[in-house]
Amino acid sequence: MKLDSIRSLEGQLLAIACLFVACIPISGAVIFLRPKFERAMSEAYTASSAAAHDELKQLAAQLEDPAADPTQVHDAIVKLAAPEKEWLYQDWVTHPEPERVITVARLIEADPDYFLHRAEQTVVCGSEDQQKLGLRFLALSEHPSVAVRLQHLLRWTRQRHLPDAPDRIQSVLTDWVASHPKTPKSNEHSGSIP
Amino acid sequence: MIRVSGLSRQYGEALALNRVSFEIPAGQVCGYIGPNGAGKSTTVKILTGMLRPTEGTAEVAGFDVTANPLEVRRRIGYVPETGPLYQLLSVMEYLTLVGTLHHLPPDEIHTRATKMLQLFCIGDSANKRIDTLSKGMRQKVVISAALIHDPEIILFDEPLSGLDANASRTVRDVVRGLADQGRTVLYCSHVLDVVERLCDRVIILNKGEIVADDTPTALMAAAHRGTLETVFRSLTSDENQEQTAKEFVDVVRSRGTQQ
Amino acid sequence: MSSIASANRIDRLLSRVGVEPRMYRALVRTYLLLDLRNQQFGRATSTAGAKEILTPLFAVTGQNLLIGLFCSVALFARVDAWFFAMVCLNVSMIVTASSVVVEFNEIVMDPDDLNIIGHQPIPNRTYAAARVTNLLMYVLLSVTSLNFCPAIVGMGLRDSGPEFLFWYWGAALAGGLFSAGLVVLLFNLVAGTTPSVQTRELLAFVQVGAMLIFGYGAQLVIRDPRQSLQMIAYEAPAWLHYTPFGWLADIAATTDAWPVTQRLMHLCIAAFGTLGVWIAAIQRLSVSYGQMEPGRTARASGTMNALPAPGQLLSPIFQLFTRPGTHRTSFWLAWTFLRRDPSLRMRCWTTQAVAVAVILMGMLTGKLVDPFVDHGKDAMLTLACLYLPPMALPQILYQLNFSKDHQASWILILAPIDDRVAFVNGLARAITFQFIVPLLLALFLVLTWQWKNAAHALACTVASAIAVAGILWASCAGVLRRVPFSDPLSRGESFGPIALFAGVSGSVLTGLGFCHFALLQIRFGFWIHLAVLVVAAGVTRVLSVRFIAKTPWSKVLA
Repeated sequence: MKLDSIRSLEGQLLAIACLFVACIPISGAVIFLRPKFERAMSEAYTASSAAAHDELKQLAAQLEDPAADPTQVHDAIVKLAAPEKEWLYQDWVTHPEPERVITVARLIEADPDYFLHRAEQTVVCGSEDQQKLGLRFLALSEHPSVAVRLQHLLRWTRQRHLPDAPDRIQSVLTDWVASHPKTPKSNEHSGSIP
Repeated sequence: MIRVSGLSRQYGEALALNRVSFEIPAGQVCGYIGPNGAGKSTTVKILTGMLRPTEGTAEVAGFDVTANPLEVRRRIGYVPETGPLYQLLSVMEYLTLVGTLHHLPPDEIHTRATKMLQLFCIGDSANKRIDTLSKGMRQKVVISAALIHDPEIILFDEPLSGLDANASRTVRDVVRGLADQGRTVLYCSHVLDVVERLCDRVIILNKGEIVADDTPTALMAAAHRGTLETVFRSLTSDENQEQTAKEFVDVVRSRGTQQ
Repeated sequence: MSSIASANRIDRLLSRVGVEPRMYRALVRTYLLLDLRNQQFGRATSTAGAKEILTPLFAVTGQNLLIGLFCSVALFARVDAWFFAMVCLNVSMIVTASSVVVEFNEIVMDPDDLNIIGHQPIPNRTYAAARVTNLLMYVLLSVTSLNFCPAIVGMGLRDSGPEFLFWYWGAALAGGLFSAGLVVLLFNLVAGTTPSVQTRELLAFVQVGAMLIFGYGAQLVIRDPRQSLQMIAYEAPAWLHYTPFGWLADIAATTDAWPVTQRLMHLCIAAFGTLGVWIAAIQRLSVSYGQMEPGRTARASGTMNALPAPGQLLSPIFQLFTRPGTHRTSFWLAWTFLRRDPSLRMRCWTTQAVAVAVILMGMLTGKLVDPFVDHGKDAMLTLACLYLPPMALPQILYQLNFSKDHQASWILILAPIDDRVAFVNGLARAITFQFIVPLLLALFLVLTWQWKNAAHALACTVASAIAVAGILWASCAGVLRRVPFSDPLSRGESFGPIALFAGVSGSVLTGLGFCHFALLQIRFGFWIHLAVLVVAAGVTRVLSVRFIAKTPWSKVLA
């Protein structure tokens, strides 16, 4: 094709059309690579090392110690800054074995909003394994808002047509409600469907 | 014909035109001259319908420029000073656009445009972009565009700007020829010796008002001046130009003296 | 035959609404040609000169396609179809609306056009129809290119399907056309026929900023460890559905909640709303075109704020930083051009886009760590923020070579400039005060705010400033080789001639960044690095001064 013909009106319009045509396979490739995109979705647990000072590590160890003074632990958690709370949460998630049930209870008792929301975030944003850990964190929590959060998560995952997550969440919700019969199931959270 | 009656135009506080009245019959080349800022371009833009008068009326080819601007524009050709063009179009594209806007058939546009460009010795530039042409070549394009549709009335504003001597002569002869064929020509220019030789009649404008309106010969006789330029200066300038020039040179020399 | 028949039908339709068909077609074709060739088209993009093959319109279309692609990729598989559609439609409407405003003079109201064809016998309605057609073509191209990739990629979302293509396109066209029409109508009603120079420049910066946000923001989303965007999508409040973007996203993506008939009804409402806005806009435009007078452009009209003459500067502060004579005069020249030429300002600021984007990215991700405290890999982003501002200096200084008034440079060529070093340095110093000092000041404030340690922030900013000084002198020697403002503007959009110099200086700065990082690991490493910087900048200055002093201007007027 001669350069002059590209410089004409028709040539220029054709060049622009070629741009659009070139985007079709690129966009198609994105769709084709959806499994890779989904697998790439995960949380990165990179809490700042500056937050992991000795006192915090000591507190983390105390969280699972049944002999530790609950009031002292509670007060210590309440005084923590957000990066430090994040570190504690990530410490629990990245060391799932052995399961630290008391840790979860103490964290929730001290700051339920933060830690429950954080677990919700793990379910929404994490990989499959991380989702399970997030759900486990919620399942171990005794706070009454857990049911509402799980319902919201269930709606969210069903709305997104995610393959296995709804069943997983439904199972956790059913078990939790069964073990907490007196908890109200009000819809406190607004979701993305009006 | 062009008929202007009590025409005024105000820009904010400034009065660019103040109750100007004149008539130009068909077949006449009328020079329209004045110092910078006298109101020449304002008058011409009102006649083309691009500006609205504050007061007064203007009729071109029997149509009021305010009430029937379209009819006026169909009948005029306009060569503006420093004629702006669509620089990114080629010469032929621009002339084709103008011809189309005047409802000329495509083949006639092409024939006329080609001939005009050849007569102006820029036939080779027909497919060149206007922004690649020299100032004089662009002026030839502007003149061609103004005449391609055979207008009844032609308004020239410094048409010889940038033209070489040969092209200038051609344009002057064209102007004369158009008038001889019954067109009405309004010719604005600062080149007074051309106006003197070319125009049948001269209107001199100063600070928005007409200060003289007659044939060049009559004006020179009445003012006892040898040239139109001296008539012009006597009517439009309060200064003694020679004294002004002397003082200017003194200012320049005074810096050299201080050094 | 069928194309002739349909052409005749179109002509009849045009005639019925009072538009002269042949004139209309000629004008539309002309404006399209001008758009394709116009080097001012798209302020923030590169342009094509007479010899280049691909036009600015091509570049703008490519840019829009990339924005759409980046948005799609950033959101794909992370959010639901509704949020995906909402963000993409939001981006499309904002970019389209801001483009219309920024290019208002070129594509909507162009009083300069009257100077060219104001005396031609074009009926107002035909002229309005041609300009509106031109505007609509531009808007349609913009909307199409911004939404092309999202429309396709959106089909691949789990809660979406092939029908997404149809509904999303309907919503995108309605939204894009609506926002453009609303802009045209509002500007016509509120601001008169053309927005002021200041408004357009502000919106040009907004447009550049928006593109930065969408371009770099997409990368941010992908790298965001807190997955903020997914949580926003998860916790999106219900009132978002009542915003224009949310409502259009409901049309585009709500497969489960709304039946087809309801979606169709909402789409029709959107279409009628858009049509209504455009009818009003066209009516206003017709009136405005009829009232336009030639020569009144959005460029500076009336008296300007008088700037002091050369030798007297804006502020006593500048007297401290400039020497009387040639140095101060050239400073004044560059300063005045930068104050009065929005195109020059825009070309200089857009070269800083990367530096600004990296600093913003660092702020938003919380990764602007204090290198005095954290010597690990996290410090690399901070060091990038220190050494990116000087990287843009060659490109900024290069812009001083170009101007649309390039033919007036004979004044400088003929002027007896005896001290070329002072002249060049004055130009560079004006650039420093206009662009670099504000950026360094902003960097200092950002670092102080992030680290809560002004001393550390100051030390890092000083290191950046010394690097700036060195590169500035090197660029004066390497880039400011021509008489300033002596080359046509179109050539200023290509950095090809200085690519090598920019590459070398960029490599040097990258090396300095790595050197800084390496020296952080040892005691007093920062101070050693600072000493190295000072020596390097000093040597560069000496060599540059010698080079500039004995090298004449490399070209005169062509």
